Amino acid sequence: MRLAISLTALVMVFALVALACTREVVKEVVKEVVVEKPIEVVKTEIREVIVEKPITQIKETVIIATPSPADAMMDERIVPSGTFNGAIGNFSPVTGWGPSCTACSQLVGASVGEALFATARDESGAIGLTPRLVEKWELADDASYSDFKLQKGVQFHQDFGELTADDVAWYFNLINTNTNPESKHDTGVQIFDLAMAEAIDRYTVRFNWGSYGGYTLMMEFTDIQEGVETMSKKAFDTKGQEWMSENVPITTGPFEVQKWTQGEEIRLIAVPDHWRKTSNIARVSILAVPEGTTRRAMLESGQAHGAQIGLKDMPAMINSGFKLAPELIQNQVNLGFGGNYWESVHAKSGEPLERTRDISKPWVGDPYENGDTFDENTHSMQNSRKVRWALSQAIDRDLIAETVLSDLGWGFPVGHMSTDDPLYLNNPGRWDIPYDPEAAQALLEEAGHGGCSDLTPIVWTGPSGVGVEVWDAVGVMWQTNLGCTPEFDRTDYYAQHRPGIVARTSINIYSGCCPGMGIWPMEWSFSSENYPGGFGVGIETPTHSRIYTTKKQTSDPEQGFALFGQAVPTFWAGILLIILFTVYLDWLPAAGMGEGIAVRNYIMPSIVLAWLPAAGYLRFTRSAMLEVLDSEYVKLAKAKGVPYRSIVWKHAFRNASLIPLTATALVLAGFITGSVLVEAVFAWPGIGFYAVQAVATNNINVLVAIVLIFTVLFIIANFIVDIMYGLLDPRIRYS
Amino acid sequence: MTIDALGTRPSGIWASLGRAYGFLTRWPIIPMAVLIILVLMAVFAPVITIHEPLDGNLRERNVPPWGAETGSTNHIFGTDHVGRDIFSRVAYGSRVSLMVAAVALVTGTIVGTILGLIAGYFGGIADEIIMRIVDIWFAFPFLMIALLIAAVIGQGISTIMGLLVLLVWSSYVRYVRAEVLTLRERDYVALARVAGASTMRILGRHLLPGVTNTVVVVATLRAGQLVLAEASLSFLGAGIPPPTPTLGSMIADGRDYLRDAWWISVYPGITIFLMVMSLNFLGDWLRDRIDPRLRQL
Repeated sequence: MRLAISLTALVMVFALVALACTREVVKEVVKEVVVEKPIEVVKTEIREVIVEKPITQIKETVIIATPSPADAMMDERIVPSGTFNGAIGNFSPVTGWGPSCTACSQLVGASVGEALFATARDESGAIGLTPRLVEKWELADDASYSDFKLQKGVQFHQDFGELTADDVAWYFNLINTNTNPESKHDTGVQIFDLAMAEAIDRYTVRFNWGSYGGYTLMMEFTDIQEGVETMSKKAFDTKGQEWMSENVPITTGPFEVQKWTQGEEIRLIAVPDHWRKTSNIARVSILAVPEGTTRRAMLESGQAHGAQIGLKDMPAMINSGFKLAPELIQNQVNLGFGGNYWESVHAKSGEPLERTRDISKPWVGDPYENGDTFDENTHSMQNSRKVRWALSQAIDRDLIAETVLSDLGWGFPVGHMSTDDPLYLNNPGRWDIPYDPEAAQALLEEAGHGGCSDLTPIVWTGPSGVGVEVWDAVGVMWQTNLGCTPEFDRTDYYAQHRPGIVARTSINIYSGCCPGMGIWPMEWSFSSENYPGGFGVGIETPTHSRIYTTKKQTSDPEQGFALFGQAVPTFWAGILLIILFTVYLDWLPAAGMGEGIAVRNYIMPSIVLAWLPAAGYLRFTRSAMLEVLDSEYVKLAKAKGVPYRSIVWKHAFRNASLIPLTATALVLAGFITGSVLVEAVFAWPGIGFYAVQAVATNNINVLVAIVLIFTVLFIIANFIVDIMYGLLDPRIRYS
Repeated sequence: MTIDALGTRPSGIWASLGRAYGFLTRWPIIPMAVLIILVLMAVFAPVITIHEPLDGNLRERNVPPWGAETGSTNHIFGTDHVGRDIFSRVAYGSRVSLMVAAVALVTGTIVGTILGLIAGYFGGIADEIIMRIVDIWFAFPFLMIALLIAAVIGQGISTIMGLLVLLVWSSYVRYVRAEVLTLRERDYVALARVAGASTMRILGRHLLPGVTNTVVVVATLRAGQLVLAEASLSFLGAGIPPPTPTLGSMIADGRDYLRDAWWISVYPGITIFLMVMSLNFLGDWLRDRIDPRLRQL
């Protein structure tokens, strides 16, 4: 899904094309830019509809730092023990059967899979294709197909033999929704242009294009955003689909998957004598650690060699000798205005599609105000544009970059386009949105929302990460400059856009995103062109959708894993304990269950979980003991001269223990609640954490099962308590 | 100090301390004072704060509180990661927390008491149905249900009030029902029935006053729990959507800054702590005072 999300730019291209194909053309081709590239001519069409204004671009939210001193670090990428321990916020599950793998885009990022092409910048800064699995390629004169010559000697994992044209053709046809409508492969649903692949000889594969543009190879077959891996056909022929579904992916990258369990751990082992790049780290273990403070503590205590670190922690970390990972992942925080300029006919079949248009938000205009024909300049459309401009102009991007981003990011006029991109440099002024609060106020006044009356910007920001902080800052600016009080929705993407439960009708403002870390709520996925059922894009088209993303550097993902946002909350006490016992005292490990029965790993979670119930027990036991010690038989025992210790433990405590026992039921409920938080802080792959993830991903079946398990546990505990009553107090008998 | 004829009052510092201690245990002065201060702070938040809780200044982010090296009286609790005044946010946040808890408490009390009265007085099928629902409700993990509901119907003040009502209503039913079971057998109730009082009248005029003590005690003890639950839900991201200041979300937002700017989450944390502690002390005191039988609550 990450892919579904971060391949947006590509997707947006298609959305717009689809829009353009319908009669209600959104608008103006502003200019055509032809960029000369060393390898091929890329023709990029730029179309502008002023809609999306990126707020800031952050060079980095993910760093892989190493605990070694700064100078030694570069020479010592190899971890002496041979195992690299990392910690990231979260990752999605993968399966070994491509068509049902909804998050396989992570494989290329993790160097488990390899894309057909890689990308590199030349000296002029233009980005081009370089060979990866494909060694040479050739486009037919009429652009109806391309022939790809594959590298020789590429071996699949687990001795499944050499990669051949058969594998590539079979796999791409299997995951491509054009050839296999059942495919749910996340990047597979986005190789729009490929009509069909066929093997010509052992090392030549022909890709027949349904459509072909300058961006096709770059956007769909490199790892520029998320790559498509190739899996082994031999594995399918000899072992079958079921075996592949249940096993780890059989691909070609420098690392082989040993274990990939969502919410727990990714374990990779290096492939010896890899055709391209043999890793000098033998094993990689990446823990899912949702809490940023825990990850930082793991780095500082040496429990992890690399970790995903929040931007705000970076200055302090760098000061204490940590370094950024050599591979940077760009992250953008965009301001996107969800609209509903949906297609009215299916892009391929031409069937009419029925959509309801919601224009209740001031930033969404109504092009049909004056009748049935699409008119982009109706009063309502102009007003909505003014509202969007006003909200954009009231944001001081440079100040955000300077403060919230600690000068590690910069204000950015166009999404997915770097300020040193030739496209941008050609005409920089046309993209800029100057910070001008007075002009913004005036625009708002013109649009009939002076002083921000009748206007509450509702913004979906996602649950966590730097985006949330940038949005907090934007909220403050809207408040101060315009008087607008926004409302931020921090629910998970899946909670907000649950296809199964409610109609997808969000027209709120959203926080867009970027390659590497992306959550991008869209109405209907992409264009109706590739989607059976005719769901098209439902978002007002952003400026940047024409322009493909550029990476700042040559891609070399061995050094950086694509990581994404953390989701889950925490328990304050747990964090304080980690800061004390891991960072300052360095006595206890910060996260994970450890190998076997690692007592040290259990200490802090146990304390945190037991804290609240312990207080309750204390209260119950105290009042019960007071009552019992006041009773006649205790007085008698005292009078008889029974030793005090014996009175307390034998006479009083046994009788008093019935009441705290009753409280056990309540305590158990507390454990269930507590375990959710504790598991998140200490990165334990437990059922409570699983339940929160199920809520976040709208996985109702899992949630029902977990609630059932908890309920049954609760009933069993009560039953045991009932039996214990009889044992403790023989007077109690059940008939 | 003049003393009556029966004897002299012991004097000296220890005796004074002892008397003060006795006074404090008999009357919950400190919790009362703390609670009153917090409530006044919440009610008069617009008067006592000099900054707006939503207005910030990025140039003044993470300013330490008054008393720290670079702190000033302009922001006595310091500022947060986008330069908003923490004291203002704590004051307005207490307002939201207390208001949400109060509304939920009143609603939950009314619903729970009525159901308890019905179950206890009528018995039979009504009793069975109501009590089984209560039993089932007790067996559900509240937090997960709350997260799910918040995800499905969306966040907001009304959502969280509804969730808190769901959390609180069931505890009344049991206590009120148990109370009614004994009350309805009393002679005065039988007499009222003989005198031709309607069911509504018996429930309202004869039984309800009898359970008032129990209801008040349960309500006081639950109040603290509600403030905490609101904080936890905001903390989990299922509460009131930002940027509206609530104590729980302030703690949640500040937790990532604990290492570098502890004041962002510590001040709201202390406020919640004081609020819940004083509500609990007050509840304990009220319970012992009005109805010692409920000591095991």
